[in-house]
Amino acid sequence: MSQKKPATKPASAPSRALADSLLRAGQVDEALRISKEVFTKAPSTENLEHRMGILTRAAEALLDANKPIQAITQEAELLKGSSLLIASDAAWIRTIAGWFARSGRIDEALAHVAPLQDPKDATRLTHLAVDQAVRQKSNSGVPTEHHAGLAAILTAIQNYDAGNDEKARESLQTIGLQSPFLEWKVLLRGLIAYANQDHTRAIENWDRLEASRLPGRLAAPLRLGIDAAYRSSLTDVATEDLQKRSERLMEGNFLKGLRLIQKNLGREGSLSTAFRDAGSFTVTLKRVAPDLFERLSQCFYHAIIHHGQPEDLARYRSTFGPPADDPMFDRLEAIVFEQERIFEAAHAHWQKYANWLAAHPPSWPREMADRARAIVWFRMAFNAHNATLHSNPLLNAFTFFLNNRKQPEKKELKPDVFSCLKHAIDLAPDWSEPSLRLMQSYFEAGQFDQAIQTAREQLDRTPDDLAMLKELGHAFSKRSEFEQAVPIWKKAVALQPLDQELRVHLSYSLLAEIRQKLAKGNPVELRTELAARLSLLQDEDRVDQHCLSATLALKAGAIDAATAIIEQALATPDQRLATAYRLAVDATLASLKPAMKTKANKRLKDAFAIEPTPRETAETLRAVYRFKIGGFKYRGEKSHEKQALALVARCLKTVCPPEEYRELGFLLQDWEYWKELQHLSNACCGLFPSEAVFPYLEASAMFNRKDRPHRVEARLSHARRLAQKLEPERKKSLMAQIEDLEKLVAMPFDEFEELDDFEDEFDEDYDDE
Amino acid sequence: MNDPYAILGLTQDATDAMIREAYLAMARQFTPENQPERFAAIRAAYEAIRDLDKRARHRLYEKGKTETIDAILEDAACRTLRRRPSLDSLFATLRPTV
Repeated sequence: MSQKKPATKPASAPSRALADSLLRAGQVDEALRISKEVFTKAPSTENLEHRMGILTRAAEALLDANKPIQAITQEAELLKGSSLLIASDAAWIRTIAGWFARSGRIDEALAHVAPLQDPKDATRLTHLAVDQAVRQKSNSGVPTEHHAGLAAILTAIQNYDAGNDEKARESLQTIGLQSPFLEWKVLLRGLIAYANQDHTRAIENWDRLEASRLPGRLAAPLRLGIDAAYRSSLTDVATEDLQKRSERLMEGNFLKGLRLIQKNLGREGSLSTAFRDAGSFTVTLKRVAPDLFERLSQCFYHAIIHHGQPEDLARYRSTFGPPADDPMFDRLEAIVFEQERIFEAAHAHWQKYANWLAAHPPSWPREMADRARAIVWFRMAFNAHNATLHSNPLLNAFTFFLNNRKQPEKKELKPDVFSCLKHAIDLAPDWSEPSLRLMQSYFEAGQFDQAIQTAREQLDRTPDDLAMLKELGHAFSKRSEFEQAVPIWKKAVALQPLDQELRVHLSYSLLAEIRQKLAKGNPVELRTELAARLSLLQDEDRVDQHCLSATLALKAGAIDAATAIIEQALATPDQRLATAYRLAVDATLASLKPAMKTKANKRLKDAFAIEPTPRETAETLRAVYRFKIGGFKYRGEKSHEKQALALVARCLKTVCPPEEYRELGFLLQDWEYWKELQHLSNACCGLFPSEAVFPYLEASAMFNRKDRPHRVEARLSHARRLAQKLEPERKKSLMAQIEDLEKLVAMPFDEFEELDDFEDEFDEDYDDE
Repeated sequence: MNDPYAILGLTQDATDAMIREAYLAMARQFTPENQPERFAAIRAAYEAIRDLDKRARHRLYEKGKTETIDAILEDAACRTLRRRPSLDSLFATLRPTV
């Protein structure tokens, strides 16, 4: 026999569960109505208990929200004296009285409990009233005798929140042992200890709190984290409840989400998992910790640059929104293309980014936006400079060998280097670096007049720009325009009197300027001028100055004076050969009388006939080099240089300490006499087999003479082995040089090529990315 | 923390003078003798944003570049453990209000 199924209860039918859910949803009035209906229809003990529970929870919620509870107290009054009550009527009376106390109606509360005649009730109700008063920061409903105590507690809270612990403690001093605010004093002392990492003292204080009172309840989630004994005394339900409160105190449980991201963000490869993890909690993170949200977004931004995929841009946008400083991702894409050495695309994106900045986005102050645009244009100049036909390094290398070791042609980007730098200068006229680079670029392109004009314009704007002064001084010196170079170097030295490099350049230019006038200038006037410049000359130029002075004296007919000066110069240690060389060249440059020239040449011939020491060789080569870079052309110049270079091999015949050969070796390296350096260092490897510097110098010469890399590396390994035995200072210095050369040997050719250009110091940011 | 503005306790719109003032005040408080690491961080922060050019470069190229998820996680954890919970935040952990 089949049984009839009971009819399904309509969802809207009044029930205890419905009342509960309505209360949870915040519909207090509706929850109260339903629970009343349930109790009215079926006045059982269970329904009465439920009704009382609903009333209690509703009252708690309204009190927490500082809302009136009159409707609830009226309903609660009706339940008093019910025969259905399991517990005593007194408990319910005390509950209602508690609500009155908490709502600021302490007199009504006391009147309520008066029939019970229990003195503890008054204390309990006073505590409830003061707790509520602290929570609401209001003294309404608090007996007048407790107003001072409340004010002290509120001041202490204010100071504690502001981090003024001492002032907070001072306020708490006024709270005595009998005060109803004693619990608050203990709570605050515990909080101050907690904030100062003194957990022992925090626990000591909080241990004294009553669990049922508000201060005890407030301290509970913090105690959970630091007090093991307290934690173990709790039931599972209480622990879970406190755990939730603790997490709310942590401003959301975002630590877990961050840990998930940590697992995936650092990995090479797809960022999709990391984005998925971030998506699940970034909304909360943005709300509770906007600064961490911002930092996390930056982490992802740079992760895309390092190992992202194009689709990550959309993921980023949906997870974090468009980046405030790069809403269209043009900057990001430009940097990525730079990394891939696809300069044309990078150029296009940077241009878009500069245009975006030009539209003055609200978050960029105008002044900073203009400077940022200048920096971007400067970077574009760098890209334009380095753009090659084949952006792929492997393809470059392939083309390099295919084209019989010829470099691939440069592809000119638009806007070109000059336009980019001009843009940068227009946007930031006070910033000298673009002008400096523009000047260099013009100079490299052979457009000397534009180069000088650029430098002059920048110096008009920033007269004390030392870098520009140096560049201009070098430019004039390279073109042997010493008359122009001298005032520039003088100004640079005036700005930086202790800069030895500047003084060397000035000293050289001062002598070179006079030397240029040897042929046509008035020798007497020139000697006077030379004498006037003595204070500005360097000590190492003293012999050069003597030679010049002697030549001018000869030209002026002051033979005795000249002879004395020549003897003095020739007697200078290590200068015998160099002096003879200078005098011979100056005699030619000054167009001295044939007899004088012959005498000078004979003196040089005699000097060459004696085997030189390494230091004499070095000084002679220094003289040759200085005539060469000064642009002093004369008949027999090639022959002189050849003879001077031959001294390198000849000086090996004299027995000298290794330091002298080492000094000569480094000079040859500086002046890029690679063939002679290789010869010298190779021979010295045999003469001084334990000296680490010679295999290094040999490797340097071999590398620059395009010897095979494995052979260079073998010499460097040998040098490295020997360097291990050097004293720490020398070892450190030589090892640094060895390592630098090793890097160059291992470097692909296209990168090596760029080192010669202005990439070197152009933009450090590029390498950093 | 890598943000130079945060290290010096400044906002992004700080001027040269404000940055210098903040740097000098912090340098006096955390001297190289007493707190060398803290001073080094303060110095580095100052150098990163001391003039307009550096600030623009920082914003263009450096901002967030050295940020790591590890550092964020550490800060989040420290904030959780070491923060000074305000009374209002403690009240907010009580049962949800209606």
